[in-house]
Amino acid sequence: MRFPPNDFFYVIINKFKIIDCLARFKARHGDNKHKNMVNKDQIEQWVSQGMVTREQADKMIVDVSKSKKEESSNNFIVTLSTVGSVCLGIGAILFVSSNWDYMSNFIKIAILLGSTFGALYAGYFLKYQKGNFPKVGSSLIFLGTLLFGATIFMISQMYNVNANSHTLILIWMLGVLPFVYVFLSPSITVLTVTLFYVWAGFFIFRGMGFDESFHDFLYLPAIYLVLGIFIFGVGGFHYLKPAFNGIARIFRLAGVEIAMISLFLLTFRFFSGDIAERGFSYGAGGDVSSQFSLSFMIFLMLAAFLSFAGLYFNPSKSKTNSLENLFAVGLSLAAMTFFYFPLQSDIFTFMFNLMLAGIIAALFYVGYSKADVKLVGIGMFWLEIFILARYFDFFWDLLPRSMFFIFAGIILVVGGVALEKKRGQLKNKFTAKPAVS
Amino acid sequence: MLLSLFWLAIIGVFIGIKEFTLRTGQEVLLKTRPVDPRDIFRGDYVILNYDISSVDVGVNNNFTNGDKVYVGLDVRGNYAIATGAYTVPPSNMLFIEGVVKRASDRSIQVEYGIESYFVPEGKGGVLERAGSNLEVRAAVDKGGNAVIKSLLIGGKEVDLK
Repeated sequence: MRFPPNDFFYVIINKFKIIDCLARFKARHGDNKHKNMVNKDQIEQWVSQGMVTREQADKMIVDVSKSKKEESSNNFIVTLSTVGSVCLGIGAILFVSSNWDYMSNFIKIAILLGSTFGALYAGYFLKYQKGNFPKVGSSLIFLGTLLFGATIFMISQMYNVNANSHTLILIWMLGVLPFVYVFLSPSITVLTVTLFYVWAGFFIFRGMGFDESFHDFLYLPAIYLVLGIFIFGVGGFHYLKPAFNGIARIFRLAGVEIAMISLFLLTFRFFSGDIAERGFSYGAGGDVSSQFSLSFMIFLMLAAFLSFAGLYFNPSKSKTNSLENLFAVGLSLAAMTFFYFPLQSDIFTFMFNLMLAGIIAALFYVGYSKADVKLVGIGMFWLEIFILARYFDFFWDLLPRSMFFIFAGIILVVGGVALEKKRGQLKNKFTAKPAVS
Repeated sequence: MLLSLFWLAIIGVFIGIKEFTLRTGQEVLLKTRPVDPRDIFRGDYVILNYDISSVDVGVNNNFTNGDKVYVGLDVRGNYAIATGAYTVPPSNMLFIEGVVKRASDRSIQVEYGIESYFVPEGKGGVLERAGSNLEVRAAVDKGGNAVIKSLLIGGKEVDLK
């Protein structure tokens, strides 16, 4: 049914149509204008479907173009501010450390605390109280969390606390953790997760030198696989509160990335192959320290618990929840079997290769299901790395060296171009899908 | 505001614990044992190893790696020496808390948290040349926590400024 343009009801109905278009778009892609901007193809589709007029479409295209330019300059400002904050942080630390000998403890602490709280308050003021420099404010708050860590380490130097103490990193991590939930900042969330992974490494190897921890080192990918699953599970439960959706995603991606790196390392015989060939006595439990074994067991139990709980409760309300958490459970079981039942064969290497291929396929499936370019991108990246690694394994001894490197170069160049092209197509496809499903 | 107080509390407790040990702890002189001289430096700090880092526990050694241990100290001559290792804080004696780094048949290697001493950049040569003449003055509080007060070479406090 069509109405004359100057009819009151026509205006109202078309206004509601635009609102309906945008509401359906947001329901499908999330209310994140930075990530899932309406584009020209989408608008043209709406015009062809009669949902908006040509006039409205032209105005929307102009608005979208302006928004994209603003988004670019915002990204540039964020990058500049973050780099500036990091430079300020490094400069403050270097200034204090270079004049360390000439200052009393009181002055050292005063400067460190002053810098830390100064950055924090400046950021809070600019972002929340004045409100006209939100990006710079966020960067300064992030700088405050970095300076907090520097303060902890500088004070520990003053009192000659052991340099490899895991407690310092734990204090830093616990100190910035509340900031994740108060400011909902992606950069602080990434910092917290990174500190967790670093702390775990120091905790696992606390008090041990390299010689006595060599066998533990060989099982490092296995324990970090478990840690990645744990963080993935933690991220899933953050979806219970809608305000934490952004943080949940960061946790989950951080879990996926570490799990993928660990799983990739486990596809090599050096980390998962014949136990005798790697220098272990049969029964690796005797060669791995009790400290490492206890840490592995604790993190494994936590990861398995969260995976099962995620499978049962589906906190993210995701259609692909079963697949995601079944893989998490499967990986936990694989890591457990690998650690507690070592074998004098390369069966685990074969198993981890299969699992990596499976996870890559799952990333593609989940990414396509959720129209998530990031997930598909991660899958594409690891597919290329996986193919390259196996190419090296199979053809290093078979081909003449020159041919080996020529073919490797061709794979990399062609693969890179193909992946980038595919990624661009996917990005357009996911944002150009009709809002009406 | 609350977050600022949270950070202040963390830093305050951290400094408070160390200052409490420094001000209320009993001062003891610990003889250092030389470490591999090539490995004595890691960046800007010195790795310290003590006579009390190795404790004789006799035939019935029930300690394993990672166990918390309380080592009794007795001052004989100028130096504090280890008199025994306990699983709970011993009463009526000075003791220092540590973690078993390595347990062998009759002895344990213990880490007390005072194995690093930070030196200004470029000033470590003095300590390197001291070798086994290096001594550490530490404060040990009633809970067995220890903090390094100063380093000495031949009985004289080292000034690295």
